[in-house]
Amino acid sequence: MEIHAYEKLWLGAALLLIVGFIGTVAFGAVGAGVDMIDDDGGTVDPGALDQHPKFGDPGVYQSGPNEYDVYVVAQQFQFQPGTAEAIEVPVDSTVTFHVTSADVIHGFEVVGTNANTMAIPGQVSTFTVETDEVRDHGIVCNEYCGSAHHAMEGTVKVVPDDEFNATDGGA
Amino acid sequence: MATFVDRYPEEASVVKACLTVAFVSLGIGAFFGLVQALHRTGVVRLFSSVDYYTVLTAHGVLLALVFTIFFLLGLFTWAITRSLERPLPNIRLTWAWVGLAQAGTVATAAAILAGFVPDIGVSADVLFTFYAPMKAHPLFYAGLAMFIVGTWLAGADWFLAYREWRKDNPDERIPLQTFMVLTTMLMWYLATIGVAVEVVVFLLPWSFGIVETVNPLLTRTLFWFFGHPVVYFWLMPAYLMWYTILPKLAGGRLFSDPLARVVFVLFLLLSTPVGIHHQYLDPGIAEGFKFIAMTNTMFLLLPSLLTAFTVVASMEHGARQRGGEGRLRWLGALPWRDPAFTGMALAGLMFAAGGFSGMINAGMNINYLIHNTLWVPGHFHLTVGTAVALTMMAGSYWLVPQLTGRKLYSRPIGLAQVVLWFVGMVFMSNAMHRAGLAGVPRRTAEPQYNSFDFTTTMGSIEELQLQIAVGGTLLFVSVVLFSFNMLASAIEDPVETPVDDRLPAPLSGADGSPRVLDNLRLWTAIAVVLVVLAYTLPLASIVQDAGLFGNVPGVPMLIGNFVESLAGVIA
Amino acid sequence: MRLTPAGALVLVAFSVPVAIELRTLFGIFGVALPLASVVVFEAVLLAAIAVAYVASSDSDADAAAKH
Repeated sequence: MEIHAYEKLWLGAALLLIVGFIGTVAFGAVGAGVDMIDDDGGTVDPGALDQHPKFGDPGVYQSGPNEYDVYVVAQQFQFQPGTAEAIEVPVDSTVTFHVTSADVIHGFEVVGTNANTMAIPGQVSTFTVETDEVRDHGIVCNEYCGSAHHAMEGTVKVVPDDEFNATDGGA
Repeated sequence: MATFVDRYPEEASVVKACLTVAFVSLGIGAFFGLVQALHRTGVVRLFSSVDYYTVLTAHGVLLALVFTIFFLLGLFTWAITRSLERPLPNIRLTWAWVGLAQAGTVATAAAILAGFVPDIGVSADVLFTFYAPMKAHPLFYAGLAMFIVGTWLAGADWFLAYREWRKDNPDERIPLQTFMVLTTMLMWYLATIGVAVEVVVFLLPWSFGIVETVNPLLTRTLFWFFGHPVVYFWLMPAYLMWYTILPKLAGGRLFSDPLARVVFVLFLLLSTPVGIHHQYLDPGIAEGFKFIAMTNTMFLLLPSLLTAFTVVASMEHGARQRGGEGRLRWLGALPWRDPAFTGMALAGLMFAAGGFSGMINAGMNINYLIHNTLWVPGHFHLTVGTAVALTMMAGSYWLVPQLTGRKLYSRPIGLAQVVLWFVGMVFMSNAMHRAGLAGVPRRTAEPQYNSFDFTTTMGSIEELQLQIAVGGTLLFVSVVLFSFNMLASAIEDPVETPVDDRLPAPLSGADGSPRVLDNLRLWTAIAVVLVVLAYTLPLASIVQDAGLFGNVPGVPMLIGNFVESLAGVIA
Repeated sequence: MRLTPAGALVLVAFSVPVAIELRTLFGIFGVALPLASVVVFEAVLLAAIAVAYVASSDSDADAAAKH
């Protein structure tokens, strides 16, 4: 089979590009420690979220010095907390989100950032972010979830340490 | 000189029946696309935002599934018949699959469109991904199942035709177009196992109330088992045209037949074990499985990069045959007046852009920035919405005259149509990508939210909205021109030679290439092994989590439900 | 090589993404241009294509006259 010299060159360059892509992602995961959604969050019974120790009373829980866990329940058409009241976390802290759904599949996206996950009934998504700046972020549901999907939104407030009150954000 | 319709009148009728369904779906789907582009940017609003999702479901199903796949059914019937140089073995079987696929389409479309009339009580506002536990009317799933079975029978029909040909030609290489059809259908059989199990075992019984609950992550994973290879099922007809028709239109011939075969074999092998890359952000799937899917996805870039080389090389060869010279000046020698050529060339150019944004999607970590944002529809309007759709429209200008025996009504209108599509898509897709980077979600009816504003790195959200609305309008005008041209061509007077339908042999033919390329059993076996490797463990762990039938009850997508839910939110 | 009407049309189409992305290019270097700049870029590109078109048909006419 005859392969043109230019085509061989192209083939080699294409393979190099592909291996390079895989290499950067592998480095990101292993070397730079980029956190990705996986099966760490475990499962819950979506019909009995109200009996769950954390999802039964979703909100912000302090888990260590400058470390917080935020439990969020997504349901048609709100985040709890997030929609009726903002999720409040202190600046310069490590925040782990735990997100699940009470009904259909939803999305949980902190707008304009890579804090983004699917919320699937029965499954818990966990991801960790660092809060490095005092500001408000929007949250949207980015997976179609029903006829008022476009109204499903919320807010995350990153506040200065002295304004943070765990019981407020804790809902 | 006679053309396809004179040699194979019955097959030409089959192809015409398929293309008619495709073009009607294209017209309706494009109208819904216009309505959406104007609604979600807030420019013109014809109905409430609740109905937006009915429009969106219809747009997705009619264009992504019905238009593309019916065009494929027609194109592949034409390709098999002409490349094997014989009529189909059993025309009754042929009409049976045409009828079945059409009946399925009508059932699914009826279930979706009934959503506009709440009194009927039938609704399927579940979008073309129909993720459980959102529940559609059983008619939606039943129609879908009929449609899929129709495509299976079509494949069987083409394999039978090949078997007949093989009996008479025991030592010949498989003709290139037949090879492309057969490898694509093998990929399709493997891929549709996912959606068939999802619909027949889980969703259909559940929508009838026989089973109470579903495992949403399982049905979602089965959907994407099918949902990624389906994009190659859309793309392979375009590739078939780029490899076998475009070089001829450019005035030359295909660069290499064996490399075309290699590309199609790679698609058969790698199209399916990648679906989990649509689930990078899903809980319940270990990072390692996602990494395997990503590795396969990245290697899937290879056949497309090879295709880019072959297409450009074949075009350059054609241009030089036509007297083109210089390093880049040969571009001027290409037949830009021919809408079939220009449309395919512009589609290929946009596919390159779509390929770049696809590389971002495929990157497991940067995907987090754009997952489920408007970036994603921006990407696939370049790929399926242009590389595939524009190539199909452009190809029709050359193909349809062979089926009707009538000349194309107007080449200038055709040229204006393909150029308009390109410009419209530049506006729309560019703005969608940018809006996605700003975090604007996909699949939503409203341009803005109450509690925050989107911020862009450059320009404003308003100008991006305007760009989307202008682009969507140009695209719709383009489809109107296409439909008009096709209708007007249908009433032209029949002529002896409506179009030059000869396809010259490739520069380097199949003869020198390894025979193992034609060993379809071997490639299918390897493809199955790759799928088993990629999916067994993830599926096992998902089933272990919540059981086969899960513990999540259905949520019907009905308007009544909306009112109650809204009351719930207010309370 | 003569620039045909169809060739010119395709060039015009191709100039649209170039004009849009020129603004992005300036943005990368920290120069924020208003939306109107895209219109200006496009006008310049259209003018250039028009000049090339007229020039190529003139030289064609010259060539034809000499024969």
